[in-house]
Amino acid sequence: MGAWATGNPSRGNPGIGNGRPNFNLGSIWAQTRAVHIKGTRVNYNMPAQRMQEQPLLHLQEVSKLYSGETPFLALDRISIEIKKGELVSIVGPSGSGKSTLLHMLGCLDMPTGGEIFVEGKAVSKMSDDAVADLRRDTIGFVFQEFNLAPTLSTFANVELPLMIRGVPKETRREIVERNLAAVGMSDKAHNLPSQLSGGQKQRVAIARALANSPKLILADEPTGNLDSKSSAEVMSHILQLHKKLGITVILVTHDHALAEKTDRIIRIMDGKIESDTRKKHAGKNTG
Amino acid sequence: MKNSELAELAFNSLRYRSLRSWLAILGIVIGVASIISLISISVGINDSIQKNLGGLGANVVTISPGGLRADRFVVGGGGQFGAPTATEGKITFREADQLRSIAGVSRLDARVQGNARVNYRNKNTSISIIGTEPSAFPLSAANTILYGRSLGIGDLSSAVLGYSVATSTFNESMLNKQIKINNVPFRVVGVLNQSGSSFSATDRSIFISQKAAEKLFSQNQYVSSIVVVAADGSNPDTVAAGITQKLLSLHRVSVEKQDFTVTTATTLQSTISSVTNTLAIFLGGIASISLIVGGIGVANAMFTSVLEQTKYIGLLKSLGTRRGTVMKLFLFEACMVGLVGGVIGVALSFAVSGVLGGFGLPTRITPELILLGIGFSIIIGAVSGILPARNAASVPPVEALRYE
Ligand SMILES: Nc1ncnc2c1ncn2[C@@H]1O[C@H](COP(=O)(O)OP(=O)(O)OP(=O)(O)O)[C@@H](O)[C@H]1O
Ligand SMILES: [Mg+2]
Repeated sequence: MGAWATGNPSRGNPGIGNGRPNFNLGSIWAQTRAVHIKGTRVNYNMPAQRMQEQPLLHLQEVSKLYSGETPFLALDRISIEIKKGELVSIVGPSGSGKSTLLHMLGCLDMPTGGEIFVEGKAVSKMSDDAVADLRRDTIGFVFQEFNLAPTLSTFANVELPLMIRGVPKETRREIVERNLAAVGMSDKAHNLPSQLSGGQKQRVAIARALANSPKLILADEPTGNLDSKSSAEVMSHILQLHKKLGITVILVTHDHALAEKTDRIIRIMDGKIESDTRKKHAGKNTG
Repeated sequence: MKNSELAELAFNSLRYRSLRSWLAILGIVIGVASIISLISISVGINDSIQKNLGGLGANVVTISPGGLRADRFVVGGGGQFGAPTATEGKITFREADQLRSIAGVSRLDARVQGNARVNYRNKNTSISIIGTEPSAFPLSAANTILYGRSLGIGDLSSAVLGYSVATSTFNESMLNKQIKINNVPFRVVGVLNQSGSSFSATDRSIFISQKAAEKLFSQNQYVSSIVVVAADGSNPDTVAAGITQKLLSLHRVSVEKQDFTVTTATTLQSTISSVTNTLAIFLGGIASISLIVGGIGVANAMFTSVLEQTKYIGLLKSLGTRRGTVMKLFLFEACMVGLVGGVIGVALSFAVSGVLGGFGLPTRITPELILLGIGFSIIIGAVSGILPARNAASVPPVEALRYE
């Protein structure tokens, strides 16, 4: 289906080009604006109020206690709902629990209290394999430290999630090439991560996070290790994901200017939510 | 993920492994090399024994009194080696005569034999004397006359010397010379060819006629052994079976209580093979210990590898790789480490057995041995990879990602 050939059929590609011809992401991924499922034209970039039925993520009184010599309560009964298509930033001082929270949202770690629901399903009741499959099919991660596999080429790094999912080789190649082109990394396809600059690494990581057409992108200070120019570049890629593809994006950042660009800002302090503010027209990306 | 893709990934991470973790495969290399080169010795020994057996005569069946079957090396040439059997049993000349009519028996040689003092000039030695039936001789010794003639029927004071007796013991042209056996004079009428088999006593024996030996050893009721030459075109093993049946019924005993031993080249070969196989298992077993130690090395290397790749494992998990798949990935890697160790070990074993060959030890490396060595090392790799792979699979993704 369109540019996202292997996407989960329940996901569409509702993006619209923003008219910037030099911006690959938009122009390539925006080829298809909507998909037809069983003959019905479905536009997934629906206004927020129509998606009220089921939040994508729902945290219910989630706590995380790091046990050890000095036990530490990193998250203290946090309740959040994240709807489909939201662009959320999580801010707060260092050590306040942002990464911990993001790991919970991405099912990378299990809470010690409370419950996480992904599309209504309680994660604690899922098997280990089911949670792995959930991460594989639904969530894309972008980390501050890039986390590219050091022994795999740019190409192979982006291919990895597709391989894990069992996508056939030919299709994999197509998707990888398209995704690398979208982040402007086609010419470095055969480089090892050690042969890339920080900004380039993060662009590869974005291409990888998108490989399995996730519904949700979780980014933990994706520009934390980058200079301002690469930062801007990487951030525009990430913001485009939301704008053009309607992907739900949750972004942990220190950068207030950046947070201001998002629709909703969740402020964390000492493992608790200090504030959760929405902009007025949050969730509406299409004109 | 497909297995082939997992193998590719495993191979990739192998390529970038640290030198330290590679050194750990040394154990497998040494283990495989020692297993193969030690077993190659027993293969080599078996080879040279079987080659020697060729000189014993493939169409000869030997029957000797006493029961411990397959425990005695009674050889076609008439000599024996190894411990004599403890089980009682006797075969009379009359019984021997009844075997002559069995199908496939071409000639039958009921022998009387023993050791006797042999004098020639000033030499005085103890030599094995075999009283043979002239009509069957020298066929029954699986030999031919080198020079002189064979024993004649009714030839009571003639002797034919085995090759070594003529060449080594007396070391001169013995034809027509007189020797004394237990003080009875005999004239040397012929010398046998070299049998070429170190298992046959033929070369080290003196042959006289059965009648002369009966007198010499005062033994006229029981045979020492019977040598049957199977007819052309008949299977010696079938003939042996017929003889066994007949003797069992003559002795009125069951197979379990068999009080005689029937040997053919085939049974002898399998007896010897079973001995060299035991040797192979023994040597291989000793060497296996080193391979198991090698396995510990692989396990160590794998633990190192898992640790080195903690972040990578975290990444794989964050990308949604299932626990079982991570485990498989590291098992594959361990198998590959085993494979690499095995291949290097095989190469080394060729060098080692070459050196052993230089010291005069017969060695031979068979294709089976190579497969065994490589297969074994893959298995060792897999087994020692289980724990590290389980460790890898159970790394919580978030901890792996936070790992420094
Ligand atoms: N494995 C752990 N064991 C014990 N304490 C931990 C562990 N991981 C994190 N913490 C603690 O939990 C708290 C929250 O950590 P977290 O990484 O979520 O902070 P953060 O908000 O992401 O900070 P930063 O902005 O510096 O990345 C910190 O005080 C940290 O020391
Ligand atoms: Mg953090």
